[in-house]
Amino acid sequence: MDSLFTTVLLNTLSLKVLMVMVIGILAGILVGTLPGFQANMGVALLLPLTFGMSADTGIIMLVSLYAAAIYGGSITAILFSTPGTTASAATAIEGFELTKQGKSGTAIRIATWCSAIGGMVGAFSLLFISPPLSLISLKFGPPEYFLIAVFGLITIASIASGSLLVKGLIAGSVGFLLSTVGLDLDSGYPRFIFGMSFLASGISFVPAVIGLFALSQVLAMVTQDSGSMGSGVAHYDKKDWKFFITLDELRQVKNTIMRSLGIGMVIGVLPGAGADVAAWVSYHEAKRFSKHPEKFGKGAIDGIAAAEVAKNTECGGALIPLLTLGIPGSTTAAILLGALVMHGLVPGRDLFTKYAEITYTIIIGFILANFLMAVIGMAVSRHIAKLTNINIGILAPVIVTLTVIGSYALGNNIYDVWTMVAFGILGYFMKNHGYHPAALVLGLILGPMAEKGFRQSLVLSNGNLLEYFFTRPISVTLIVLIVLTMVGPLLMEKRRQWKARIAG
Amino acid sequence: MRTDTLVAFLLIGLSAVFYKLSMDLTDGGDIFPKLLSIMTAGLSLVLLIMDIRKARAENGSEKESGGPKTLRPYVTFVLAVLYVAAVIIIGFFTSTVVFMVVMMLYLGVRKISNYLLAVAFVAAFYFLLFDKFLHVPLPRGLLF
Repeated sequence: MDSLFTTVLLNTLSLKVLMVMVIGILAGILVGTLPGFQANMGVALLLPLTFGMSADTGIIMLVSLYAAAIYGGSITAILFSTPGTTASAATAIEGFELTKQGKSGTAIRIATWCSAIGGMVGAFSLLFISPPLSLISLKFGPPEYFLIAVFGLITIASIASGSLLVKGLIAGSVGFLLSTVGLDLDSGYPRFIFGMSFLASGISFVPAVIGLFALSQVLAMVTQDSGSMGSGVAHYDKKDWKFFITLDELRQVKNTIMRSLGIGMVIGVLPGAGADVAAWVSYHEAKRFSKHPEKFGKGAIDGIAAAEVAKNTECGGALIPLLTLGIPGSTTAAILLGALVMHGLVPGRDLFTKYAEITYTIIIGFILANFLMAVIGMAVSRHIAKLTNINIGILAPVIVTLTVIGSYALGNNIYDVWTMVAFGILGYFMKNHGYHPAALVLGLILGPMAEKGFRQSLVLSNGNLLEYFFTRPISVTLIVLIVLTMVGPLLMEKRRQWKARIAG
Repeated sequence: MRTDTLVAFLLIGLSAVFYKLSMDLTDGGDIFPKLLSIMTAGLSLVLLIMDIRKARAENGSEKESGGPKTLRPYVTFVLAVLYVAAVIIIGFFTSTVVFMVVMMLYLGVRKISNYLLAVAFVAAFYFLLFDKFLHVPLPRGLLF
């Protein structure tokens, strides 16, 4: 154990890992700062670069970007009332009020250090909760793997498409269907390749992700008029800019921090709700518990602390079901799942035994990245906000070239680039018509696992699949969860309509 | 035709193709695709019914939805397709420079310095990172 701890620590503190961490953080803050850019787009664009890296180094770069992008969105939310990401919308309410009062430094300081506290606690919980939780995966057999894949897909489908669950399910189902393209691993027989030999190895997941999340975003971005993305210049008082959060400030928000840590953690572990939900719930709870709720909406630092702590705690929390059971809690987590699989790491107990060195390096790296994020964030936030003045006319072509070179560099294969382009236009169409691409991506990633589990279950059940599924406790639990996830939102909607009718 | 109706028909067609092709597969390779084809077709049918009901409620006309009413995304997409085709023929770096200039012109970038800075930065960054550091054999094509 000691030697594992020492190796992990040395790995994490190596120059290479620290460098990729800094790159991931800077890229993340940039992605978070630019309105219209989401963490998933950043992770998709950086994914090809991790190919040449070891699994731990590559994943650390991606999780650093993930955390920093969630935080970075708050910088523009505070300075310009333009949340860089949806998760920062709650921060914008109080943060921009403080900016108008010349206290943008206070707002940024609170947001930055509270994000870091949330992120670090989230990462520590990942360290302590994941290993025991992963023991459950030891009890998994083929039916459970099949049901986990279905459950993961349904959670993403149900959040991604809101009330229109059917569209999310269609996207996931098509993702599953597309995952069957290529050689059948059992028989070695090619399936659905339509005479195109490059399809024999299946539809590459990374170009699909780059197309669905990056190219499609550029297509959406160019609909805006050319010009900068920022809106105006922030007012700030130089005296208000201090590097560290003060003890007095910490004392004011300590109760909010504690409460928001709990909220972020619970929402993170529950598959389905993302950082934006965590931020809003936490913000409203802070207002409800506040001795001065009247200050909310007028620049309450409690409001900023609540949203920031919860949304970054949620990041760590969302990785718990991902690493232990393979259930991604958000779109970005779905892409991270693909990255893990791409590096030969399968979520479950093996990650904490056979690949313990890699996994713990990633987790310790994630803790450190959250701290570094605050240091770098405080150093660059004032300057990076100026980047919102970059013209879309320049940014859009740069990103297109990045999507092309990124998907080409994967296997030095132009077919991957065409795959990316095809998924780019598909993603644009999907987003515009309510079919969220995350479900399709997850279908592509989880398809092979679902198929393997299903086919093995068929063999093991001797043809009586239903009896086989319903006599296994974990399978039954998963089936119940699947049904609840599908029916739950519909029932809540009916209840809301019923209540509205009674009130009306 | 309404968009969701069109999507439903397209997906039912796609499911039918996958199902038909699955019938030639052996050794259990057909089961999962068949199941998914049926599931996709079933869900598409639900979508179709929901859209027909919605159309009746809206008196047949589709409410303003979906994409913005501008050609920009589609022109950008066509330019991206031409760019990828050009990468194979004239090489990555030349096509990247041409694509960036054309795209910036189309999106209304005016300052010459913006063109020079953006193109120079991108070309240098890709050359150093992908060519020199990661040793990715980028397509050279007829020119560079």
